[in-house]
Amino acid sequence: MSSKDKAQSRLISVMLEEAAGGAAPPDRSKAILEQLYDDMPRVPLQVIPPKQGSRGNRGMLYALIGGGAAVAALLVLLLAMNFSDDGTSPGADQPASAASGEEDDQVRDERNAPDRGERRRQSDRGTRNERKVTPLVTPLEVSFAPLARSEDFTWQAAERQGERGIQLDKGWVFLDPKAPPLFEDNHDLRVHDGRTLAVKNFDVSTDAGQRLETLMNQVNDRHPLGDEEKQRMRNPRNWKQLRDVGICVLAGGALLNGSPLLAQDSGDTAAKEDVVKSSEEKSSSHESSSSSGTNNDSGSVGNSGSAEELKAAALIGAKDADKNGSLSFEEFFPTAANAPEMARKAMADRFAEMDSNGDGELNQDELVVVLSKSSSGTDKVQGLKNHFKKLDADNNGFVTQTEFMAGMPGVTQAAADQFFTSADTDGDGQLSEQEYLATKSADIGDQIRKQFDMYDKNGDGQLTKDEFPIIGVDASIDADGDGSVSFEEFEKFIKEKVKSGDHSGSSDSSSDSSSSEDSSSSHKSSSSSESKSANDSSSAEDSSSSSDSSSSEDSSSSSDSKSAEDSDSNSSKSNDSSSNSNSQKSSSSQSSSSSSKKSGSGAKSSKGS
Amino acid sequence: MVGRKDKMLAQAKSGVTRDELAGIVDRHQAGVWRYLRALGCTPALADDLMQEAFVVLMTRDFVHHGDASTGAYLRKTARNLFLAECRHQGRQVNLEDLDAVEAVWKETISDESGETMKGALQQCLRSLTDRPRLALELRYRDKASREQIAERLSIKAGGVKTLLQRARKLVEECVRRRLNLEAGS
Repeated sequence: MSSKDKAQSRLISVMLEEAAGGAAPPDRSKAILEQLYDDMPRVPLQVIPPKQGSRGNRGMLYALIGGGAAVAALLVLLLAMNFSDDGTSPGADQPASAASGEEDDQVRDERNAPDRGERRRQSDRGTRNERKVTPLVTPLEVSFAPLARSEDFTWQAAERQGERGIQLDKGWVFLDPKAPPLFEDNHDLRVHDGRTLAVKNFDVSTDAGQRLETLMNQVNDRHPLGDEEKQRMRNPRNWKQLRDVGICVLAGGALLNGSPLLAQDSGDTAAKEDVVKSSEEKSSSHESSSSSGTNNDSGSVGNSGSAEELKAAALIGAKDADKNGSLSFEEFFPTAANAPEMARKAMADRFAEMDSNGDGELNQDELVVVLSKSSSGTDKVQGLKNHFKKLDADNNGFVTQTEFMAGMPGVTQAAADQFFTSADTDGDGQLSEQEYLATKSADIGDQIRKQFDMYDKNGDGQLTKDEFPIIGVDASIDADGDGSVSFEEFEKFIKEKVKSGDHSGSSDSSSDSSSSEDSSSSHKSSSSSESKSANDSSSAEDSSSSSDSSSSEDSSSSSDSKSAEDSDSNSSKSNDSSSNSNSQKSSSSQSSSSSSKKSGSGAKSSKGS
Repeated sequence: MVGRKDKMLAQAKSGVTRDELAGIVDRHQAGVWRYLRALGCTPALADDLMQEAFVVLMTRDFVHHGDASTGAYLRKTARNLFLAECRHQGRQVNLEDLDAVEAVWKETISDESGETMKGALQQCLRSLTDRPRLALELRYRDKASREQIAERLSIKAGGVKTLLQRARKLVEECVRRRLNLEAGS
């Protein structure tokens, strides 16, 4: 029976169950609409500025309206005071001030009302950075008021591909995540977290030394620098040159032309290790710092954005052709269109695996998860720790199920239940960092073991060439050259593949994207093999095997059908054996079907309707 | 779980009004649910994922061009959600089977919701004699065990298995004829 016939049979079976009075599709219109439309805010939450070009005219309009409102309020106030003197209730000014308030609201709303394109862009950014405290780009109106800058600092607004940023004219400035992107020549720089110093007319190749020291003192006078920041500034390798603008990531990370640039990327391995170490120490002392309720200043490194986050942002920046803030299959695997069918299928499989919320697009959070999976060692642990911190919304060092679900959009209640059941080892209803890390580490080991078992069809603990054809292609997997691959060899091979796809540290967007594809292609064989084992079935009855087809009931077959339509009962008889053998095949899936039923019903009850 | 921003985005991006969405949900929810069931979901899971599929639809760049394209979009989303769910459960799925369900759905279901097929099946059920029809109803409607069905129909438990298989086969053949579908091999 081909898979198509099987699918047709399954579809009919599902519908038959319904037609016979079994499970039928529920009406969830109300629940869906409530999820999407209830508690919709009536006023726009995002403050989006008007276009710079029209700012002058609108500003005058607002000033006139605002001025008028202020004069009206003043008059009303004076009148009310007069009435009060006459013994009239001072409450007489209530309607007027309310009206004035309304007018103010109106003015504010008008000011905030975005044009359609701007709102769309803002919305897209909103999706991408939904759980981030600060978006990469914020309106120019915030200007540089809170930022440290040199006395002679000047800038001008610039626009590129519909996005507004700035160009430095003179002086230096600290850029932080609130600042607009910096455009210089063909480069663009966006601060993701922490802060970055940008200096006009500064070339570190010639200005290192005395001028750099002078600059550092100037900066330090206006805004004290931490020791780490000073060290970072002094090292010329920490500087990047955008034509005549020198930039130095002092803390956190930034995206230069979409590629991550981290404060950790000093080029100095020892310093890098120190940074990782210090951030690990910070995370281990997470509880104490969170209990004090104070976050370290921007001088701290890697406390809000991980390397994976930056890489994910870079990937999106480099590949997101339609600029919707996430990557479709075609964007993520641009070569898929011309790839052979098997490869395309493996890519699709891999993509579906990465697309945890199943919306057909990879968003930044999903990429972070993928990248943290492909990382190894310290980076990986750090990535997981950062992710744990992100999930820990109230910062108490524990992740509750509510926090988990809030931090992982797309995860169903059933999946969260299951994850918590396995991960919450002490059963206190919340996950500590250790529990979270332990689960994730176990995941990786389990996955490799699962993959191995999947290939090892005869279960002898060794993969032969027949079971694992890669042996014939890549001899390095068979380390002892005995012609078969043990689990240890397999594990080593997979880990090396994953490791080779890891580009932690500074890298350009192209290498990032290729790394991601590499790691995915290294999974190709595994995912396609994964798809070979079938164990899902829809109908419990379908899966009931029938070995006793020669039962006495056989004789009643012709009488089962009474109409002319069903007259060809002979053919049904002759097909009996095949149908039975088919149902035997699917009998093994009954257990998995029933287990999914359990979680499904759990999900239903929790969701309600 | 839909965040506030998602809701705003849903409205801003799709340009679909509440009434239009209500219409889309109304026309497609049964189809998506049945599709998920055919993929291998239990009724409860199909219920969950069907709701999620609509939420995903509305929180993405979705433009309603027509029921056919919206139905295809929803099925694709539902399939991805199902795969994600299987991953979470550590359950393995044969992707070829899922592709086959999609292919069969396109060939078989002409109305996006599957109501035509359901109607045909009901007619076929009615064309059965009492005993096989009752066996199917007891099995699907009343969730009766084989033993209970055997007791009710005064036959052996092994006979119930055969009776149910035969009844299903008859109905399948009947509906294939009614809908002009190619018979399974």
